[in-house]
Amino acid sequence: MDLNRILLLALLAVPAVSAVVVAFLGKRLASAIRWISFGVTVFNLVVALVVMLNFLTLSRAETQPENMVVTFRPEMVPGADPNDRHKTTWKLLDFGKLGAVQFFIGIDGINLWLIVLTAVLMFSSVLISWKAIQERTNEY
Amino acid sequence: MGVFLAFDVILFYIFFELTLVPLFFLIGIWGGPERRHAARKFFIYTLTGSVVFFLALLAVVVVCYHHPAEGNKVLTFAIPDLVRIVNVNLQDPAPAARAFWQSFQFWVFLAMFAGFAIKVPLFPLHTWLPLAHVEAPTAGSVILAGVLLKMGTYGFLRLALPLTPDACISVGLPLVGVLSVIGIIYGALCALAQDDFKKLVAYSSVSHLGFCMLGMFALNSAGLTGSLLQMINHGLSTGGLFLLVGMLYERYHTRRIADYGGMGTKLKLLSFCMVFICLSSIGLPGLNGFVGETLVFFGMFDVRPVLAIVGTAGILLGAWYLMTLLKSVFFGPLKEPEHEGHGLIFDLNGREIATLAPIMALCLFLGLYPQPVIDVAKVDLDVVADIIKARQKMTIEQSPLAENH
Repeated sequence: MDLNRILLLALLAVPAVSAVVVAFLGKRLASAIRWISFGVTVFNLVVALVVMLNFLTLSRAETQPENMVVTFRPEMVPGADPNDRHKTTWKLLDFGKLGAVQFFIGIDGINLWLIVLTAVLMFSSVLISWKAIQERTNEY
Repeated sequence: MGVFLAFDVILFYIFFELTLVPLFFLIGIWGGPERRHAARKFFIYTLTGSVVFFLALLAVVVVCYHHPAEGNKVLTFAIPDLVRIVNVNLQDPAPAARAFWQSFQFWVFLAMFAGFAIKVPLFPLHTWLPLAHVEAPTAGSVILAGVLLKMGTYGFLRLALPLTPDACISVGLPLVGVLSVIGIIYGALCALAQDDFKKLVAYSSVSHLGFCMLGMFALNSAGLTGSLLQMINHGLSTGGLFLLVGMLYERYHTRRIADYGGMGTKLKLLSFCMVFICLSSIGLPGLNGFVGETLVFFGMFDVRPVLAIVGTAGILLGAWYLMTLLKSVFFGPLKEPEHEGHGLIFDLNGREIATLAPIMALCLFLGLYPQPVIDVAKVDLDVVADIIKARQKMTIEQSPLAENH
């Protein structure tokens, strides 16, 4: 699995893991909690920017086959199907022959910018809450 | 973030719902005096919508299972596959199949509309938003405006448009078009009437998302691009406005516009940032709002000129309420609200500058040089535009008028 795919997973996993960690830290560690959250948002921002740069250099010139109905073609799909990099083989809920609910994530030109936007706003949100939130810091 | 990344409908739905929980608590625990009411209203509104929308998703999956595009029946939840299956089936010329798919699309569209329009929020369903914004802590408002509302518009773009193209053309365009124009004007007028500046920003949000939906339902390339840019712009400028308003509130602990005056002499940096973000929100050329709004109106003007013309009034009103806010809070004679017991009032500190800097930098960048964003998004927006175009062509060919020739 190449770097981009790992980065995409990290984008989802790191905030989730850090949220659990923070929840278990005691109340007295408020400043540590702030710094962890800050670190995570900085990390996410950096990862989002790296993914953006990699996506920009990605060649997407491949044309859709003729007389086929057009559809979305996500890139950087984790667990990509070796025959078709726009599909994933990872399954969440397997219904056997019927099919499966897949863990299917990816990046295309539409959601790329929303990801960057989210990362920037998360960064700002943690910073703005630095002083304003004094009680119950963990959950926050 | 998961919502934007997901390409599987179930995964999309799970992430879509997961975002409700933290925000519910953000508003409910750290919010203002009426936080419980606000959090409950927010939760009930969005949950109702998304349950209906979930049923629609399941219906699409099941119907696609029974009408496979090629070969075996496979239960698929992947968005690209579903889009392909639906659109292959739409080309079926048999009258019975056509009638089935038309009515199926209609109901699926309505259900998705219920889910996403509440989230966006479109005009008659927006009442939860100002309440939630006003009661939420600053960070909550920023995330609500910048991320949560985008999930609604993104949902329309990713699911409603490609899965129900015919319904979008026949029902969506007039319905959403009119509702967004009403939302633009109504949101702007409400913003104008507010004496609480956080509420003003919240109503300006309703107005701005009206632009976003207006562009999307122009259903052409220009409109879609404008709509996507407008989503990003709104996230940046409204996010920025909420941050600034929050900073001012942290200093003086009041949100009444009438309590302030001439802040420009006292808080120079904060005022500079405020003017900058307000101008970007109004859509001054050279800043981000301009590009998105222009494209939205280009797109809409081709389809429904009347809606576009009425919509432009929203820009004027937008300039009006934001300029009024600037004038009364930051210019004129200095008038400070009572702030005993809150210490001395300082201008922006380093942390606050770091909070605003990336947002302002992006505003400027998107205003001066939006081409990279447009180019990258174009490939995938064209997928949506092509689906719609193919359907429009097909509808014309299949209409009784064409058969007579």
